[in-house]
Amino acid sequence: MRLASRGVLVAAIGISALLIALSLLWRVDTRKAAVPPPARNAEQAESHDTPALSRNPVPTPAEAGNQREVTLFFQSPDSDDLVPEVRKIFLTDSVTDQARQTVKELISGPQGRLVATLPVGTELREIYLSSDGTAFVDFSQALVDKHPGGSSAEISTVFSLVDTLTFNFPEIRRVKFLVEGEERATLKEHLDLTRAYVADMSLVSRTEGR
Amino acid sequence: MSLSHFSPKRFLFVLLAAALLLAVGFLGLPAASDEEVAVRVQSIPNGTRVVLEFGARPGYEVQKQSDRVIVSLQGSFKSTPFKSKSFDDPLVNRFKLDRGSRQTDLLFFTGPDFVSVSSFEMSAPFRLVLDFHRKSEAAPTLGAHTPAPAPTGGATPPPALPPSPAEPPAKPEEGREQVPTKGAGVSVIVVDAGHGGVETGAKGPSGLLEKEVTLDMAKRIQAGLTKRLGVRVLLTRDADKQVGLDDRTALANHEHADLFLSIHVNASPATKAQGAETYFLSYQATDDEARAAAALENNTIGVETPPGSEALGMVLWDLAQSQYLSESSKLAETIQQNLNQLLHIESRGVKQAPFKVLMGATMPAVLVEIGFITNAQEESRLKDSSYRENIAQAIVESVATFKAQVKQLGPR
Repeated sequence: MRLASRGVLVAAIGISALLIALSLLWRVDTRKAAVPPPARNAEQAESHDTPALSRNPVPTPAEAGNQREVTLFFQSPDSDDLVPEVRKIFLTDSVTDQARQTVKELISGPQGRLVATLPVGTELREIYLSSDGTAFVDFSQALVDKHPGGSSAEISTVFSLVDTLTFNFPEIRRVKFLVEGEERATLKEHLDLTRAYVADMSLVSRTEGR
Repeated sequence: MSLSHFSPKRFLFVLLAAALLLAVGFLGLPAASDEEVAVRVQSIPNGTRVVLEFGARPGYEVQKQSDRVIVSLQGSFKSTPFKSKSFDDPLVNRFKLDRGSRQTDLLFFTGPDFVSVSSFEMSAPFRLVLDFHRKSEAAPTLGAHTPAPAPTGGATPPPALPPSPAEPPAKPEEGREQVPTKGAGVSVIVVDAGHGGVETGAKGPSGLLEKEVTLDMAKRIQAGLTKRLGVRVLLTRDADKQVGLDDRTALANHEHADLFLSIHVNASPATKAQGAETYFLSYQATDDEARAAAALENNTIGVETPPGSEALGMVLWDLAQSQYLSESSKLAETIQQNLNQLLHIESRGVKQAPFKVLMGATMPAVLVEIGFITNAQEESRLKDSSYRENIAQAIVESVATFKAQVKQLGPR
């Protein structure tokens, strides 16, 4: 009797532990299902006519190491749209540093058939990220001096930078242009540069570059 | 404590019960709690405002499609106080929430009067405000300038209709006598020749300068408007000189102009780009404007205005154009239609952007990019005097149409 009840006790403890462990496992499982990775799946993309871009791309295990992908937006040669092109940058600890690398890639221009949006010769002086999510992007005077002017060209310059930074870095909510460390009214007398811009993803092509 | 008090059976029972309770507890909890978004729809002078209030700032995107505006939220959301709803509103007909596992779409189906949407953010609590703007109909309640409800209907701009007998307010006026006050129609127009002086503007592949084309165009439009409409037309510059952007609008405001037309020549890094584009001011609000809008939304004007009258002045200057947006969009549509027809280019439409030169204008204001100087073909056409004259005439006719609408339907 004594032995038997001890046996029952051990069995009971075992079963209980098993039940608790199972419930915990189940819980973890459903959590995983509820918070999937950021890339949208095909079924999701079908729910509206816009092909989905995966926002804030993360490095895939294969390339893990110390690199991540970023999506740059350049001008389409055939339409007014901005079109994505992917680059790899070093996955450094600081968002500001990653943003710096990304803007430098944007200045270097597209590798394919797309058209550059920042004038050749423009230099990135510095990027500052304020606590409210505004990225102050400070360019050299060449951004203005070598800019072709025109509303369309200014729009593509401003929004290729704004969309690129806000798309890749959730920490960046808006972007403010500086030239030689100072605020400017405009680039070439069109868009107001005294304001910080939020993304306008409606300028990004829904078909090209995917 | 004696061992005899210990009952294995009771212990076993308690243990099993506890395990069951724990297991049920864990399983019974919702796996991922939905976040909430509160949806409010209200009428504003130029259209319909939708306020989305969140517990915390979500990742979001706003997309405009042909029959709807989609706000895509990262994560799983449920809306309050309704999950879907139809509205008796000409701009926003219906709201629907489409929830996926990783993304929630808020769909706002738009009505026939809808022309554009603009959005801005407000904080504490975080709110995303979407303003749905009306097509061509102007009913601003604040400082109504030239309220001119358009004849309803299609995409084509209504021609200068004769006053319909059913419309009593349209008293036919004899002669050209215009009452020189605001609200009396279009009697003073400022034509702004883009750039000038050291600000040469864009440059064509063979060297044509934007500032030369815009000055010549402005003079042609001035002559055309004076002849066709008998209105007073002022130029912001009549020579090759630099004029500040604020000074251009200030002239129009000072002269109580009824229209501000800024003439430009476009440039694009895509050198194939061609055709004319007409812009009016977009309303992607700055932080200052958002503060002012917040004050308006809370019906506590001035509460969140930064101290100091200078700051207040800045906000008002930036907001000046906001109450003329629907009229500006109507004029822009008419000009764009006429230019597309003239140039046989159908692909270009009216656009919105935050142009510095339009911001302070206290009257309907548009910016016309008459063609792309970066396109070699268009550059060579832009050198041609009869080509320029045709474009000038198309703009003059568009203003005549707009003026007729304002005169016919505006209050006396």
